[in-house]
Amino acid sequence: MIEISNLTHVYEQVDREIIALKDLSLNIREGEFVVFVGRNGSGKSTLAKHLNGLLLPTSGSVKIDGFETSLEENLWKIRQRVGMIFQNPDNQIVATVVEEDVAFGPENLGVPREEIRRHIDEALRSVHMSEYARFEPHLLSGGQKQRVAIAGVLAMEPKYLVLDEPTSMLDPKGKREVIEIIQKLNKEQGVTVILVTHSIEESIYADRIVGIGRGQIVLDASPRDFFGETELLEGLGVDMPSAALLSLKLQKEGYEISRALSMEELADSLCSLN
Amino acid sequence: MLIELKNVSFTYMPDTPLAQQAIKNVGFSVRTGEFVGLVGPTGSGKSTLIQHFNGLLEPLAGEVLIDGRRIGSEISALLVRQKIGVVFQFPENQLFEDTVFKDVAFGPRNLKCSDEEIEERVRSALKMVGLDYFEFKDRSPFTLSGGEMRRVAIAGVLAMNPSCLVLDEPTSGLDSIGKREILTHLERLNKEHGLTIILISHDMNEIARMVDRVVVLNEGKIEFDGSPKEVFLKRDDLLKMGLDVPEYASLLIKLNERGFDVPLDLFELNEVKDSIVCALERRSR
Repeated sequence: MIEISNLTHVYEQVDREIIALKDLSLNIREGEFVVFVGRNGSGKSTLAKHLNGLLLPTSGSVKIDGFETSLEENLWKIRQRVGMIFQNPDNQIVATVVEEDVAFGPENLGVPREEIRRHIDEALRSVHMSEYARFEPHLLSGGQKQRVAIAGVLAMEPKYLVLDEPTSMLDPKGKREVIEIIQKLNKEQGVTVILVTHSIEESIYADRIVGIGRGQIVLDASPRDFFGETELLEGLGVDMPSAALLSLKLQKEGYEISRALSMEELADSLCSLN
Repeated sequence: MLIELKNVSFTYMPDTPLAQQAIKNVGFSVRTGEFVGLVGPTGSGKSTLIQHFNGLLEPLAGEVLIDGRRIGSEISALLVRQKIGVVFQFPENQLFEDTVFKDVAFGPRNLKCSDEEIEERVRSALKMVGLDYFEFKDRSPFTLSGGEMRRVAIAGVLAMNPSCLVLDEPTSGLDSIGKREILTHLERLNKEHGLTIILISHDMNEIARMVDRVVVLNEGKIEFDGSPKEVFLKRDDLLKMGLDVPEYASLLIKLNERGFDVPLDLFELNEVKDSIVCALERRSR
């Protein structure tokens, strides 16, 4: 369980203070798939960085399984539980061979040698990169590199995976690969996923979408309810899924179809019309 | 022809064991006023290709002509860089001055323009990207939003008065409002100012909506070159390359497979809605 209570974060600048998060409270349960959306500068990345103590609260608290991030003695436990993935895979790969990169985390945690081997193999298997274990990372595509970065985090066997725009630098195939892996980790391995994204297609698979604006939670709902709040979406800078826009248009023409979130869903409901 | 590539090949680290051919015998040209979308999977050679447009890279074989003149021998690379402005990925990382004015003025100042000319160019460049001169000129670029910073960076390139703007993923990482702002201004630059635009993007919805012509690069070669309608009909080939088709096209393809009589080459919401309504009416008859 992640418990965020009355969290405020202020960035101190030379001439002024920027309030990035304001008295924000949010709980994330184990096994959930939660998406954070919002405009650039809304505070969603700041919030993500609080989840493993990369940033510490100006006031309020963040607790991971009961461990407060503001207590220094908790940081190791927290960082082993909460893995972070960022936008640019090139900035996250440290070794010259894929499997050595994946080993970096467990080695630092002092995991015994024989066990490290098992951790690496399992991590690479779960991101479908086993056959690349001996490759040099620079020979991989963007999507493959990002999956290696995810394996590096998985090798520490975290309960929570926080991903900050992990697909924004990838091509369509790379995006698909990474999103499939994230969904699989959540559904099959029970990893709790917190995904920060601007992509609507990526957010419709979540259990919950949390919309953040000016450092506060504007909307916290299931994808279906979330995209029903047309007026709030505008302020959050979030577009409606194209499938939802088209289903609204068709409803106006008098067709009785439900509001679809994906094109698959819309195709199904159009086919069942007659 | 504004830009013309004739049988261009380029290899990184030639004659070494690490040699990697990035561009293979590419013939490609862009006319003045065109809006071209350049798409391709990671590593297909897009970035290598655009660096040939303004002489940042010299072809190993073949030649690059700008307005019919060969870069290097008939037109200097310096002049080419004024004519063909390239906006690289995350251009806001290249902002460095303490005010927006100074940052946008950097190019014209290096061209030794007079102070009046510089001011005029900065004003018009900021206007072209929709930023108010008086509101923004004295602000630090680092206090702006992501979308604004990126528009300042684009204005810096526009201040060189290029005839062509090449942009490498100008909307990546921006929220939907920031994206829309950039795209609206690109459309205006093309339609109203007659600027030739070459847009690299992984977002096929964006490509279908914006461009007149799509060029698909794969493994250093041009695979397809045509209107969005022609190119996005090659769905299976595009998927195999790791690309995609616009969302509405993917819906129409699904419906078609399930017996709906709909055209496959529509990308705009209302067109798509009308075609589905027509197909539904025909079915109910």
